[in-house]
Amino acid sequence: MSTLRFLIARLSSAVPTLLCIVTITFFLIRFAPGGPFDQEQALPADVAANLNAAYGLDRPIVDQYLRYLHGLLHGDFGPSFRYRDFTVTELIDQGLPVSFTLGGIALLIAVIAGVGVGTLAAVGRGGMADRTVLGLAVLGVAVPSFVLLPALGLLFGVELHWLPVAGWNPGRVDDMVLPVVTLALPPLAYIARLQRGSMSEALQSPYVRTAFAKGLPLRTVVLRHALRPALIPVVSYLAPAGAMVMTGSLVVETIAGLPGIGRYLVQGALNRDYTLVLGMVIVYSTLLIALGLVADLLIAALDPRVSLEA
Amino acid sequence: MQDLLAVEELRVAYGSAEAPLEAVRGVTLALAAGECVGVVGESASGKTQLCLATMGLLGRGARVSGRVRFAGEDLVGMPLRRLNQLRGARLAMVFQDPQTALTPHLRIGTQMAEVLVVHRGAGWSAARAAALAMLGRVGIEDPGWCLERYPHELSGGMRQRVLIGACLLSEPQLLVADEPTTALDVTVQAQVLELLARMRRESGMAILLVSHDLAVVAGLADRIAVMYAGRIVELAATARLLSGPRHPYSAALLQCVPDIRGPIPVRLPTLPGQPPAIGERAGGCPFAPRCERREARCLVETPPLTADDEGGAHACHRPLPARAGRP
Ligand code: SF4
Repeated sequence: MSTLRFLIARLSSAVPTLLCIVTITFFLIRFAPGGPFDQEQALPADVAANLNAAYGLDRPIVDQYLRYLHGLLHGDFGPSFRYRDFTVTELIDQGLPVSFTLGGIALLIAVIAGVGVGTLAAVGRGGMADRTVLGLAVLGVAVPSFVLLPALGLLFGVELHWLPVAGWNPGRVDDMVLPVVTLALPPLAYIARLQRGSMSEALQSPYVRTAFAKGLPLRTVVLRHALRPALIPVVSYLAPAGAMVMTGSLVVETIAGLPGIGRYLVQGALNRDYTLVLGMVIVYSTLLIALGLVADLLIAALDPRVSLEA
Repeated sequence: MQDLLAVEELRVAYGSAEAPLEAVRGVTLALAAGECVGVVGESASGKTQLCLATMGLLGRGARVSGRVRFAGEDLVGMPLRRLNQLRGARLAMVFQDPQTALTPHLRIGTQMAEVLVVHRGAGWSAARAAALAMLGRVGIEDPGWCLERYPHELSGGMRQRVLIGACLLSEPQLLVADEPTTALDVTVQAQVLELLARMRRESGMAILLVSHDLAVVAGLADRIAVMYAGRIVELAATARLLSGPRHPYSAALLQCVPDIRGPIPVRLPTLPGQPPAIGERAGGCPFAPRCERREARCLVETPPLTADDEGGAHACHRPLPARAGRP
C-alpha cells in the first residue's frame, strides 16, 4: 500500500475514533453530579434557569449532543462555561502553543537523550553509562513531577539562582528549562531502558555478528547495523510517551504557573465546564492519534519488511 | 613452511571459574595456505566455538586460553583495533543461517560494499561496482537487481551466495565456513558447496569447513578433523579417514552417511545415545558411554591425541586397525 493511501485510510479511521471519544466524554461528564453554575451559595432559581437557557442546558440532552457535534463540524468548540468571555476555541488558541512547545521539546529531548544514553549503556554493559541509565530509570519512575519540579526549582532557582522557579515570559528560554526537564525525565528514563534492552538484543543478533566478522569498527556496527532495529520498540512507545508528557503537563503547568492548556483539563473537570473538558479531550486525543500515526510511518521507514497497512 | 592458521591447545570455557563449562577442551589444529580442513562433529562438539575463536568473535562470557595464530599473530587477546584489520580482510566467515546473517534493513549492495570501504578505503561507488561483479561470480543471475534488494526479498540460497560473495570481495586468505549449507535445501546445498570449491580454485584461499555432516565436508576437504565433546578425536587425510577410520566415533559417523552408489537404505543407521552435556564431562574417554570397543581403562583414562604412522592422529585406547576398510 502506498504511503498516501495509508495516510488517507488512517486519517479517515481517526474520525470514528474521535467521535466515540467525544460521545463517551460528553455523556460521562453530564452524568457527574453538579453543574457549571454551582457555587457555594445556590443561585436564585430564576437566574439559574436563565443561565441554563442561555447555554442551551435546558434542552433534552440528545439535542444538546447533536448541537455540540454540529458546532464541532464547523470548528466551534462552544463557549466556556467558566471563562465567561471566552470560547473554548480561544482558550485553546492561547494555551496550545505554550503547551505544544514545552511538550514537543520535552518529547524530543526524551527520545534523543533516551536513545543516546540507552545505546551507550547497551554497548558498555556494566559501565558508567549503564549505571546512569539504571539510576535514571529509578529516578524517572519513582519521583513524580509534583515533587521533581519543586525540587529542581529549589536547587537551581532558590539556591543557585540559575533559573527562574516559575513564571512565563514569551520567548524566554530559561523559563522553559525546568518545566521541560521535569516533563522530559519520566519518558526519557523509560525510553533509555527500552533502548538499552533492544540495543543489547540487537548486538547479540546474527547479523551483528556478521558485521563484526567483516571487521567493521564498533561504531559502524552499532550505528549502521544495530541502531535501526533497536529503535523500533522506542518508536512504538512514542504515543505512550506523548501521553506521559501530557499527563505531566497538567501538573507542571499548574505548579509553574504556565499559560498552557494543561491546567484547563483539571480545572474544567472540577468546574463541570463541559465544553472546556470536551475541547481538551479532543485536542489530546488528536495529538495521540497523530503520534501513533507518525510512529507507524517511522516503523515502516525503519524496517523494509514492514508494509503499511491500515 | 609456516602454517596460515595454527590453533594450539585452544580452550574455551563459560560459567564460573570454580565450575567451568568447557566447550572447547584443548584443540590443536593447523591449516596451510590454500588447504581445506573439514571439522565434523555433532552439535555441542565445540566446532562452532572453534570457528568463533578463529574469528575473535567469542562473546564476553567466554574465557579463552591457548593460541590461535593467524599468519604468525595470536588472535587470542589481540586488541580489537588489530583484530578488525584482519577479519573481513584476510580472514572471513560464512555463517550457518543466511536467513538471519544479513542485516534486514540494509540493501545487499551496501552490505557487500562496506567490506571494501572499510578495509580498502574504497569509495562507495567503486565498492558497489566490485560487489556487482562479485555477485555475478558467485552465480547470481541478475546482479544489478540483486544489488538493490533487501535480504528478505531473496531466497535462502541467494542469501548464502551473497554472504559468500561479501566474504570473498576482500580476497581473504582464510574462509571459515560454519555449517554453510545446513539451513538450505538439498539441491541448493550442492550448489553452494560447488561454489565454495570453485572459489577456492580461483582464489587459492584456505577453508575451514565445519559441518555436522561428514558428506558435506568429504567432497571439499583435504583433511578432516573429527570433534567430540570439545576435543579432536581423529585427524586424518580425507581419503584415509573415509576408507579406514581409526576412532570408533569416526567409524560410527561414517556409517551414518548413505552411500550414494548403493541401494537406498530403508532406514539410515543413527548413532545411539547422546554426547555428554558440557557440564558433565568427567574423566575417561568422553565417547565411552556410546562406544562398542570400550574397555576398563577407557572409563578412567582420557586417551590423548596420538599421531599414527599414516600422518593422521587419533585419541583412542583401542583404535580400529589401520586400513580396515569400513567396519
Ligand atoms: S578410548 Fe575406549 S571408549 Fe574411547 S573411543 Fe577408544 S575404545 Fe571407545
